[in-house]
Formats: sequence, C-alpha cells, structure tokens
Amino acid sequence: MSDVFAKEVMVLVGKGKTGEVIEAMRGATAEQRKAVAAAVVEEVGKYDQWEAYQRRQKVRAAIVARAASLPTANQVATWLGRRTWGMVDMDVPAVVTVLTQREVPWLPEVAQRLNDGMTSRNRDDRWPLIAALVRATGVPVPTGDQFVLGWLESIFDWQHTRERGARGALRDDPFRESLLPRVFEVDDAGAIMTPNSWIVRYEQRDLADLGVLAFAELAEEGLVERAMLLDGCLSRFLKGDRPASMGAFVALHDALAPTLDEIAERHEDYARVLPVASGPVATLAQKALRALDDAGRLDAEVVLQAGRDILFRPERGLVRTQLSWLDRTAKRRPAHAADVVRVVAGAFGYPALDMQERALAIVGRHLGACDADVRAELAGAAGSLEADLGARARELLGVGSVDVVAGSWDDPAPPAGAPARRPMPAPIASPAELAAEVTALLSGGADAVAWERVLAATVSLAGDRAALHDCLLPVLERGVSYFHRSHLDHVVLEQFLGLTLRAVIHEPVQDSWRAVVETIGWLATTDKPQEKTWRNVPAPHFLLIRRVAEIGHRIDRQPVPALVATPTSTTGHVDAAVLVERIEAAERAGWEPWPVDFAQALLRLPREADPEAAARAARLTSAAGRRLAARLAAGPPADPVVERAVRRRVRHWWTSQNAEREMPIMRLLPGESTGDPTYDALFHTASAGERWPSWSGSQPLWPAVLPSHREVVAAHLLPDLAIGAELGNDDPARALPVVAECAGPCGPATALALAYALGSARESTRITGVDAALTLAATGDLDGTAIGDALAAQLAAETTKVVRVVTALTELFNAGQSAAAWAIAARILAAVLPSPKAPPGTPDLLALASRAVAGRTDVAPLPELGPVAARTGSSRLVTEARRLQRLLP
Amino acid sequence: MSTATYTYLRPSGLADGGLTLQTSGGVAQREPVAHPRFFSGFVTTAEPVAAGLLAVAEVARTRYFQPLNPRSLDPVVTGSRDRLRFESFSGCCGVYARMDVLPAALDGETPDHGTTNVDVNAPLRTALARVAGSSALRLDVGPDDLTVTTMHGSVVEKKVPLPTRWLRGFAEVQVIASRFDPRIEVSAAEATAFLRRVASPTDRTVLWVVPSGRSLRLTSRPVPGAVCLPGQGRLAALRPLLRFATTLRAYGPPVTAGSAPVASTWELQTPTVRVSLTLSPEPARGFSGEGAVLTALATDEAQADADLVGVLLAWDPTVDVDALAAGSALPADRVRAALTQLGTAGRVGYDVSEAAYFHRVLPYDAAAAAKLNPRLIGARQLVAGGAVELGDNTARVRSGDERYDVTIVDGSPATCTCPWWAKYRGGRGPCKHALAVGMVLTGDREEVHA
Repeated sequence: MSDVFAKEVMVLVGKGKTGEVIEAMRGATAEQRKAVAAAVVEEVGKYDQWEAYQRRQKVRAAIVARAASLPTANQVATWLGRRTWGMVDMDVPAVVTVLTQREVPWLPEVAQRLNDGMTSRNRDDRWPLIAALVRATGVPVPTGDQFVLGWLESIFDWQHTRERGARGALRDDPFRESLLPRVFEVDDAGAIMTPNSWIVRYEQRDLADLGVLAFAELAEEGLVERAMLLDGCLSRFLKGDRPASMGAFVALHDALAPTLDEIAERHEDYARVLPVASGPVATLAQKALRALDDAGRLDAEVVLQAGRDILFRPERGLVRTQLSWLDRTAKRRPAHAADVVRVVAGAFGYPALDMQERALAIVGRHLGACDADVRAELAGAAGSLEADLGARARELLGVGSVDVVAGSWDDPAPPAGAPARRPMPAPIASPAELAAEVTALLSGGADAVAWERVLAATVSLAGDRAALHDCLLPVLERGVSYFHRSHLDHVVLEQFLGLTLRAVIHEPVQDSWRAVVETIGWLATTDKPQEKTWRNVPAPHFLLIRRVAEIGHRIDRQPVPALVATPTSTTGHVDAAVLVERIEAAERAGWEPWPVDFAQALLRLPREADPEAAARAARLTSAAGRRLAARLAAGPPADPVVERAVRRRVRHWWTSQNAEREMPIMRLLPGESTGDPTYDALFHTASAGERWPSWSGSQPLWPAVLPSHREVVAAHLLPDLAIGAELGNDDPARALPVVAECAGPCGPATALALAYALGSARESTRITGVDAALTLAATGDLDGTAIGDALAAQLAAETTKVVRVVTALTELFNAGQSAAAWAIAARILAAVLPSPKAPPGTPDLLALASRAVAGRTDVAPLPELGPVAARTGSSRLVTEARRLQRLLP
Repeated sequence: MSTATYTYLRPSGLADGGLTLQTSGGVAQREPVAHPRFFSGFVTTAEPVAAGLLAVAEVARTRYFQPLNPRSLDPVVTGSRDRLRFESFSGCCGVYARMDVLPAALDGETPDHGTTNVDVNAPLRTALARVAGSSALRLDVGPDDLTVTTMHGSVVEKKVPLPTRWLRGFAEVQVIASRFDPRIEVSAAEATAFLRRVASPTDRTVLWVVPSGRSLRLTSRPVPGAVCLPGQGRLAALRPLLRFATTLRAYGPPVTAGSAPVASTWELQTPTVRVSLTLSPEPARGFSGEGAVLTALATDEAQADADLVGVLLAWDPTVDVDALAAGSALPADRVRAALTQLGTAGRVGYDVSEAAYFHRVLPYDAAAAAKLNPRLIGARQLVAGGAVELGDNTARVRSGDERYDVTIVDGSPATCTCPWWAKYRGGRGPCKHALAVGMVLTGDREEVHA
C-alpha cells in the first residue's frame, strides 16, 4: 500500500513536479512517509554534487519529498544540510511549505540545527533556508556570527541591490532590529558591506544603494537609531579588524558626520583609538577630537595624551597634523605650554628630517615657558635629531659647546661583519652520503660548496662502482623529471649532473638518449661553443656544464683518482700550494688531470703571488705541471677590457609594459689572448647583448668559477640582473654578496650590478644589494660615484624609482656607510635636480643626503643644488635642498 | 581532529572598573578544576596589561599564513606563584605569543596555582581597548564565589575544532625556544624605528637582523649573532605595546653563514609586563612540523625520568634544574632531557627571558597529540614492517616501492636520501626513515644491555 504511494511520489519527483509532490504528501500516513523517505534516498542518495546538479529538477523535488517524510528534526536537518545540494539551488519556499504543512512541533529545532552547523563554507547554501524557516516559525532570530554574515550577504547581494537597493531591502527587513547591533561585533562583516568598486562604476548607482551607507540613510529616515550606529562604529574601531573590513565602518562614520555633542559624549573612545587603530581610523579620530578641541570642549590633558599616542605612529600625515595641533594648544593654553613642548620633543626621533624640524621649531616657539628641568629633558631628547638639527637644537637650548647631542649619526659604527670566508667542509665519505647530497642538490637553492663536494665525491668514490650504483640508482630513478627528458636543456645544470651520474654508475641509457650522450662527449672535449644553441649560454654556466660533462665522458676512458679543481675555501679559491701538491701527487702516480678540471683549477688560483708554491711548481715535469708553473710564475692573465653596451629589451609576453627599453649592461672585450682557450671564452662576451636571460638559477655558482675576477663575474651577471630587476627575480642578485667576497678588481660592471640590485622593486633584492655594497665598502672597493651614475641613468630611463633607492641608501647609512650613501646620493641628485620637475621621492633623497653629510668634512659641494635651494616657496623639495646646501661646504 | 569545549560561567568582562577573566578547565595544583581562580587583586599598571592581553588575543585569532575563516582557540593563563602568564598560539601554528605579568605588576592574592583557558570575547576586546592610563586596575582571574554559586544555568559554551597539529606545535615551540639565547637588545626608540621599518604585513620573505651601531640592520644572509626574521609582518601584534616598552630583545639559536631559516623570539619589555612573539622559521611552516622533539619521543628513553621530574614541579615561575636534580637524585643533564620530554607533552613552558622552564600544564591532552605525530607513526610502521636493514654505517629503509639510504654517524642517523630530508637537511628534525633507523638502533642497544 505504502509502496504504491511511494512509487507514485517518485514518479512526480522524476518529473520534477515539486508542487504536486507537496500536494501528494499532504496527509500522508507515517507508513507512507517512511516508504517515501526510503525511496528518495535510494534514488538520489548516491549522487555527488555534480550528478545532483545535472539532475537538479528531479533533485529539487526529491529534497522536498524526503523533507516531508523524515520523522525527526535531526534527520530533516541533516538531509537539508547535505553538501551535495550545493549546486542544485534548492526550492526554499517549497521546502518551507511542505514542512509547515506537516504541523510538527519540532520545526524550530530544524532551523536551529541547520544554524548550528552553518560555517563560512556552506553559508551560501544554508542561509536562505534557515532565514525562511525562522520567518515561518517565528522563533527568535539567531544572532550567531554566520547568521549575521549571511544576512548581510543577502542584503548587499548584487542582484538584490540592483533591483531594490540596499536601502529598500533594509527598510522592511524583518531581521534588521535584531541583527543590526551585531553587525559591529562580527569580524569581517565590513568586507561584505563594502561595495565592489567595479560594481559601483558599472551600476552608476548611489553608493547608499549598494553598501554600508544605506545604514546612514536609514538613520536619517529615523528607522535606525543614530547613536547605536555611532557607538557600533567606535566599538569596531577599538576592536580592530582586517583593513578590507574596516573601510566600511570608516565610510559609515564619515557619512554619519557626528556632531560635536556626539563626539563629546564619546571623546574617551576616540582618544583610545589613536594609539592602536589603523591609519584611516586614527585619522578620523584625530579629526573628531581636534574639532572638539577647537570648540574649546576638550581637556588639555586629553590633547597631550593624544599627542603622545600619535607621535609614536609611523604615518606622516597624522604626525604632521598632531604637531600643528599641539602648537596651537600651546598658544591657546599658555599654562600648558611646557607640557606641550615635552610631548612635541617626542617627535625628535621621527625618521624624517622635516618632521624633526617642525618639532624643533615648535619647541623653539614655546621655549620661554620652559624651566631648567624641561630644558634639560629637551637637551636629552635632542640627541635623536639628525643632520643640522642637532646643532640648531644646541644653539636653541643654549647648551653651547657641550656636546650633549653627540649622536651616533655622525659617528657611525663599522658595518656588522660580513660572513667570514669559511674553509670547505669535510669531503663526502660514503656512497650513501653522496646519494643524500645529490638529492639535496636537486631540491634547489644549491651553492658552490654543495655542488663541488658532490663532483669531488663522484670521482673519488668511483673506485667502488658497485657500491655507488647501489646507492645512486634509487635516487636517480626517483629523480626529478628532467632526468628523464630525451633532449638536453642547456639551462638545467642538474640534468647534466643526472646524466653524468648515470654514466658513472654504468647505467645503460635508453636509445633516445644517444644523441644526448654524444652531446655530452662533445661538450667535454670542446673549447668553444660552436652550435647556435650553446652560443647564447653564459660562459660561467657553460664551464660548469663542461666540467660535469667531462666527468661522465672521461671516468672510464681516462680514470683519475680525484679532481684537482675542488676549492679549498668556500669562495671557490684553490690554494696555490694545495694545487701544486695535487699535481705532484698526480705526477707520482702517473696520471694527468682532466683538461676542463685543470683549467678550472687554474682559474681558481688566488691573484697574489705565492713564491714558495711557484718554486715547488717549477720542479713539476708533466704538461699540467708546466702550465701550473708558468701561471704561478707569471701571475694572473691580464684582465679583460670592460665596455658599456646595451641590451635592447624587446616586448616580451611576460611583461605588461609595452615600450621597448634599453637596459645598460657591460661587454667584455678580448684583450690579447691569454693563450688559454678557457680563459679566453670567459673573458669575452661578444654576444651578451642579445643573450636571453639564462633562467638557469645557477648564478650563485658563478663566483666560484672565477673567484679572482669579481668584475668578470659581474659582467656575466648583468643581463640576468637587468631582467631580474624588472621581473622581481631574486636568483641573479643572490650571487652579488658572494661576488663581493671574492677577489679581483671592481669596475663599471660591479657598480652597474650593484645599481640594479639597489634599485630593485623587491625589498629582499635591495637588501641583498646592500649586503654586497657593505662587503665592498669594508675593503674600500665600493665605487659610489659609478653606482650613483648608473642609478641616475636608470631613473632617467624610468626603470627604477627614487623611493626604492632611498630605502636602500638608508640601510647603507644606518649600517655606518655614510660616505658611500652620500657618494651615491650626490650623483643621483646631480642628475635629477636640474630637471624642472624632480621625480617623486627627491625630497627624501635630499634628506638622506643631509643625514649622511652631517658632521663630515670630506664632502665636496654640489653645484646642482644651488638653483633649487634658491627657488622661492617652502615646498619640501626646496626646504630639504636648502638644508643640504647649508650642510655642504 | 577533536574538539575543544570551553565552559565559562559567564563571559569575561570589564565592569565597574574591574576586569574579570573567566576560566574553564585545566588544573589547579594537581587536580583538574572546572573554573580555577588564580588571582584576585590589582594590576598596578592597567594599560600595558590590557594591551598585552589584546596582543595575545590577537595572535590567538589570526592565521598569518593562508588567512582562512578563523575559529580560534582561547588563550591559556598560568598562575605560577608570583606571576601570571598568558599564552596563545596562532591558527596557522606559526606564531606563539606570551605575556608575562611580572610580580611588580600584581598586588593581590593568588588563591590557587595552575593553568586554565581564559575567555576573551569581542566585547571584552573593545573594553580592553578602552583601558587607559597607568592607574591600577582590579583584576580577577577566575570567577568569584558569588558567580560560582549564583550563575549556574547561564554558562557560555564554546566548541572549537582542536587540530592535533596546533596542539603539537603549541607544545613543541617550548622545546624549540629552550635552545635560544639572547642575541639583540635595543632601546625603545630603536625598537620603535625598527618596528616602523618592518611594516609590510604581507611580506613573506625570510630576512636576518643584526645589530648595527645602536640600531638594527636587515641582511639577506645569516651571520654569527644574527636573528632570523621570517615574515616580518608577523611582528605587527607587538606594535601597540611600543608605547610602554623600555627595550626590545630578540632571541634565537646559534647560526652561522649558510644556516637555513630558524625560529626566533621577539620580546618587548616594560617594567611590569613582558610580551613576546615566537615566529616559525618560515611563514608557511608551522611549529608542528619542526620535528624538534621527534628523536626524544621515538625512543621514550627519558619517559621514566620525565614522570619523576613531573611530580616534583610545583608551579614554579622558573624551574631550577639544580634543585630538581637534587630532589630527584638525577644528574642535571637527565633532568634537562626530562624537561624536554615534559615540554613536548605540554607540561612545561619555556621562558627565554629567564632562560628557564616554567611549570605549566596545557589544558589539553598534548602528550597524546605528540605521539600522534605523522612522522612518528610512519617510522613505527616502518619498524614494525621490518623495513629497516642495518649495515655498517648506513641503513637501508624500504618504504613502498622506494628504497632510502640513511647514513649513521656516531651511532645515530645523520642523513637520508629522501626528498624531504634533502629539502630541509635536518632543519626540521629527522625524516621518518631516519627516525625508524634510530628506533632500530636504540632497540639494538637495549638488547645488548639486556
């Protein structure tokens, strides 16, 4: 009987006839309901979300049928709350109709259970149903966070608001009274009430129809209590929230435009907001309190405390306003002038000269009100004043020659130590350890030390090939996908390592790799890249490839017990005496070092002469021995000529900028041949101007290829730095501090490389640049003038911004390198000051220059400064220019 | 994942000039208590305490990495004789915050000692933000007698998901911090300049900080004496406390050139409270995955000692290792190992400022969570499956179809050929293969002894 009924209902469900299902379920017996519940679950219970969506007509009816059939609130709530219904767009009115017609007492419980289980993930699906049930049953409106957020979403829903506007929606909303106070308590509510800027533009509608301002409108109509909105905003300001959410309350507060009486009632809350709230909130609180004070309705103590709180904050605008407010307070309330002055002195430590200057000027104006105690306090605080302000404070306070203000600003501490040159860690001792290190190399971020240890161990452990095979094969088989590629990708160093290791352990390669193996053989024996593919590979990268390829090629053809180029220090240097010992050992045992390895070893010799090692080398007899002796006797080959060049940046698909730009780089010109083809290849960058960015990530290994030729490595890095600067790629810059620790002369290439890093868009890259600059400065190798010129050129080409350079130079200055900071800043200023419109940030650069030259006697005047300082007006540019002018001879 | 259930007799609140923090669960002395009372009296400096409590609450409700919808767990308060410590742990498991309310700030009685959860609700946060001035403030931690007897029936109940990784991280950060030393100390003015400088809330890069003259300098590479600053925006919660601070101190483990990112603690000191944040080595890394205690857990060597030492702890504000050694008749190094074990179980915390552990029992079952470490479970399975094959100075571990080699140096596992070890090189504790080898090795040793 009940089965027949269930079948009939299921036919209706199948056709998606929800209305008829409701009719059919009216007055069904318990037996019949039980049968329907079972039949529905059999039919649609197994659907996943997508299947449910595809059969949504049927599913909507099925939801209604089973909701009409289940016997308890718990079961109904579980059924309706299924995640599976997320995409079917449940027929909420039908569900509510079918449930109310059952006249069961537990309907409120269904609403409550659904509400308890509501989360941010299912809120979209659940809220309309819960809201409908709440309205239908007349139970108290739930006030949980999720329900409030769901309510706001329903009010500020785009579809909804475009039809009626949020104002209209709110006017007769049944939940408004219960939920409105909660809007100010629930986190993230503000984000929902912030109209999407795109929608605002697209709809061209009154903001009050789309967002939070609707509340202000309702207050005007008298439907909502203004005081409640205002108190709500303030409690929100005190509590804090994400910036995206806070904007709505700031907008609402501004729209409410509180009267002085309203502010006066809440002045304590406004005052409490000042020290902790976000910038926009603190700004509005400052404005409100100041208006109250202007009306003479604020205690002096509140003004003073507001000053203490604000002057601690980083925002310039807030600090400036506060200073002028305090100045006025001192004028209007002479009795409190001394207290004001003490508060104002708190801004002496603010990191901007113009603010310090303002503070000092205010102190000067009201100094008459200060007794000896306050003056002593001021003298102490003046210690944080910078540039010429310290001297002015001394004069003002009459501290005279007593050097109260001897700050560390003109006596910078030496830079914090650069990483000391480390000895190489112990060699890898076992095949298992080698396998672990190989795995580590493949996970990226390799440095020269890890790379060299693996190469050395691959050769020295090759004696027991079976053990090596046993340990390495699982690692190589597991290896990263590029081990398995059938073509050779010249940028991926790790791929060469993988193939070489395969050759070393005699693991046969697939047929498709034959060509690759041949290439490896060719690479191991060639001196110069011939094919077009290889011509664009940066020379240091090419040498790294050749050295690893050589291992795979020669390990069986010409076995040797060890590599000779393995560094003795982490910079990549090989101690001359150690290299002589290695060759002596080779001669005794009767083997010749491999050519690429030996060439690398020669490149790694220090520049300084080592007469003792040279004398020992003179006794060597093998071919390698004679070459080593000749090199040690003659010293390093002549350094290449470095010449300006330009890398034309064409329009690439990965950049958003369309203009073609020219990025300066440096070319290495072959001087006379060194007689060593490997040297010649590295000392020459004929085609570097067209070279693509190498993308290889191997740049941090390059300094160890040429540890005695900083300038050459820098020249090779430049094309990548030029691209990295604009793409925000950190890899090439990571090599710079390592370059700085190496040896050899520094020239225009090093300066340009540093300029790219110091002007980078990324803070971490700039800090890397500062690290390199500090290392160079410590040994007197930093050419500030050249770096400044390079940065000036980049500013002219609009590839960097003054503000970026200022942050980098500030770091340099703070680290004690005021001379270097000034040298760089001076060249940039000389370039930007003559232009009629100085680029944004120039006043900051001037201020930094003032800080750097203060107290120095070894600085030269800057002729370009005069015309700017002589301009009329009191813009920041002009004031800062005048200040610098005063400090320069 | 289990659930934390908090039952407060009423919401914490600030009324009639007095702050009452409601408590739920935990222990007092040695007994579990429903609503313990740890303090009743005055704090001498209202504003710093309120700001510190807000900072701790802020960390509790923030996910610094992948900020999803936060369901935050409540802060924990420990009454240890002469001081109160409020602790919280961020939802992303990457930031640990603590405020120590020092004896100088407290004027009142301490009816009981122990650890409990403390309710910090939205209206309370607003109220705390309103606290102004350095005047004294009445403070009650725990309900007064009147509340206990009359407020039945109007309890506040909260159920929050309690992820085991959160619990593990909360416990383990103590053990990680126990290896820290003070490395940087700067004045309030420099601290202000520095915290103004590291403002970017979204910056996730790992930088290092070194002292430079009287101030601080950021650097891209570790040098001896440097403190790691991973994800600078995570220090934002300290900023509201700058107004009261006298010094900023930074603590970290020893580093050398080439060190991988490490954890660090940043502490603002005021005359009456200390507020510190401990940051995980990278914003994407939670403390739960740092594996600092896995070796200790894997072998259970220190368990008996830990049980013995645990009994001797008496809610001391700082644990005196020598006194414990005398009391337990154990050598000091075994006491320290036992304290590490207790830290893992959430039964002691570590105070970098005092360079000492303090007695605190997390009001959760942290010991069980620690044992549920996925790596530990994986290692046990490997050992049970006979996957470890010991060689001379290497061991082979078969895991599924793969084979990994673990090198053994001085009788303990050193390196592994699995990609996970390769990535962190031991910086996040041993991998499961190395753990399994360690278990087999100590098992062997015990058999030899037997």
